[in-house]
Amino acid sequence: MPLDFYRDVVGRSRNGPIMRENDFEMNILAPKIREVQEKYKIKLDPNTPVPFDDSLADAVYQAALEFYAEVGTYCIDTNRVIKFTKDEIEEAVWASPREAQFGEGLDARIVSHRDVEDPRRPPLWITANASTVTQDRFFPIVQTFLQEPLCDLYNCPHVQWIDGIELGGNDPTEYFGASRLAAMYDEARRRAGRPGIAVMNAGVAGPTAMGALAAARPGTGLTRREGWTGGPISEFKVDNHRLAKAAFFIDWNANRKWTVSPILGGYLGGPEGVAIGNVAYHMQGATLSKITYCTSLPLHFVMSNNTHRMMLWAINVSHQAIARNTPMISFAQLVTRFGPGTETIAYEGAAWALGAMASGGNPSAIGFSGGGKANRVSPIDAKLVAEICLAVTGMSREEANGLADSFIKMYEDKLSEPDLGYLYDDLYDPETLKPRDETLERYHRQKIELEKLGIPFGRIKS
Amino acid sequence: MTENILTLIKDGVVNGDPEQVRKYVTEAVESGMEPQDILEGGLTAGLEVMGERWNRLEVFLPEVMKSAKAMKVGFEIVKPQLGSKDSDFRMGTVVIGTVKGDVHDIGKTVVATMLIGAGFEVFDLGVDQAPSMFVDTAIEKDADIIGLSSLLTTSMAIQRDVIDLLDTLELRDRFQVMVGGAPTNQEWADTIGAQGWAADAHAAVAKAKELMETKKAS
Repeated sequence: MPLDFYRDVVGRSRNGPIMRENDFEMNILAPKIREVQEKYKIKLDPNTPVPFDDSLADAVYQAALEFYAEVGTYCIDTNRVIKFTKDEIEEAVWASPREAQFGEGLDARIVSHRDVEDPRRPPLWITANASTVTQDRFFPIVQTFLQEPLCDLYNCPHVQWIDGIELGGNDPTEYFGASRLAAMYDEARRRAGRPGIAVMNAGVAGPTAMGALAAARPGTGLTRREGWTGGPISEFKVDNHRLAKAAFFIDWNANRKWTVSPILGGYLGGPEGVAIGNVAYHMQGATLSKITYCTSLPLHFVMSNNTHRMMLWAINVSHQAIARNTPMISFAQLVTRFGPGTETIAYEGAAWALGAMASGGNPSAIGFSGGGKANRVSPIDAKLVAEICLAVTGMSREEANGLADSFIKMYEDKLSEPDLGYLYDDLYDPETLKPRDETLERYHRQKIELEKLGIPFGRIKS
Repeated sequence: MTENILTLIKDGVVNGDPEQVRKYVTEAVESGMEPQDILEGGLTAGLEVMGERWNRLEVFLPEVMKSAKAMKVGFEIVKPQLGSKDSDFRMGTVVIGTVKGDVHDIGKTVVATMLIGAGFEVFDLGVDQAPSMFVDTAIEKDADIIGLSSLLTTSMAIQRDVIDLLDTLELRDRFQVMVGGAPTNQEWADTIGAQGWAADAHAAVAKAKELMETKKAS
């Protein structure tokens, strides 16, 4: 049993400073983020969505370290703050793995810490991130994603109704849903001929620890080598369920994910606060859950995407801070404003991929903002963004910045009125699992256009 | 004099300074200024400035929340002067919260703060709230709208449960229900019988105003 976890984390959640939640947010967190931002002179340059100033990245890291040491994490169940000293935080950060195995057998992949401008091929996490699908489309959709040879890692979609039972949280259906979905994930990958490919959002089906325990129980087919989902409540809060999940994942020695979503315009403020907060969230994952990797998807407070110019700056500078100052494995997750099957998604994806790859992030794409319609997924768009990631791997930050800037200009004026796009059945034939003619035609046309605009697809080796 | 004191009230709201707002609203009331002038020219005008700045990302949630609190201090002083005309100067009353089984609060807080900025009186229940809490509070506060947030597919069904409880208590016609959150959509709102759904916080405010106009017209 992870006794140090109970002493160091649970103990502090029961004995740390006690305060009201609103006081934590308004009097501790919000002023401190502004204070460190000014102290370390962190300032957005909107003309540089992919910054290439190492001293800026290092300052963001130092600001995050001071911020997290001073602010900590608020436990909403105990009303206490879990705090660590700077030394304890850095010890936890440097105890994080530099690489880890995900999946089993021939489908296993080693995922590593990436450096700024890293020339190595990244693992491609091609995903239907945070999507819900209907039960009748679950296997066709998952199989369509997994039949793509580029797909190294995968996020399974959620199903809201299984065999006529509506899945809830913190009730008996959480156990039913989480265990059934886990078994469905396992069956889907076997049907697709990829029995060992890692599911990177394992245990996400239930909001409480019950869901994680149900998904991990013997018989579901999921193993410690999936990515098991934990994470805070935005901003910098946890509850006892999240701590209980962490205890279980640590005890089981499973691959532990920390999913974080700092909000632009919220308590962290602007892009500078989001950048600092994003790095501090990695430190939070290391101290609270001894994480294997962190997946971050900063989001705009109204539009819920992360392809705005200032969002990309925040994402990129924070990944550079992590890449340069820690051994941690970190994923950047794309959330576009435009939906599946639209032209604009390729430009959003290109701007994001250029920055993420040059800044030391591992890529994970695509999630869509703007309404939870079932079956709103697009394997071919995720594939296109993955190919962009491969094409721009190793590109310098300065070159990536120029290209990203030109792509952002192609869509930034349209973000307030997005086309939410199409459903799986519009884009694919669910019987043959093949893209429809017009879907394929758009993909090829866009690839040619992107090449002309500077994405060097000819660089892709494998 | 009138213009000067309204500017001081407005500045107090913009700066999130409840003492400044209290001082000058009290002074304005005692000098016999029309309460609707204090509301529109000072308090609401201040929050409108903050709303515009928030849209441009010049200020953020904490600053706007402080301004909303300062505005509320002033509103409580003006309220007795409005008497029966109180409702004429408010857009409406909203009880809002995140439903049971879900502890995500930022999206709901953003919407609540924007609603205050738009002139609504808002009672924020927080997170993880059972259907009866929404209904009991809506009755107690004589609300116009119940706002239900859910970020998780697993808690969406609680939005429907609130409407079912209203039906059971035969209170369905008394309140407008709005739903929101990442997994929701118009189809879901239609299915459960919610009058309003919005994809984002700006759309939520527009929808709440629309529902109130419909209610006042009927």
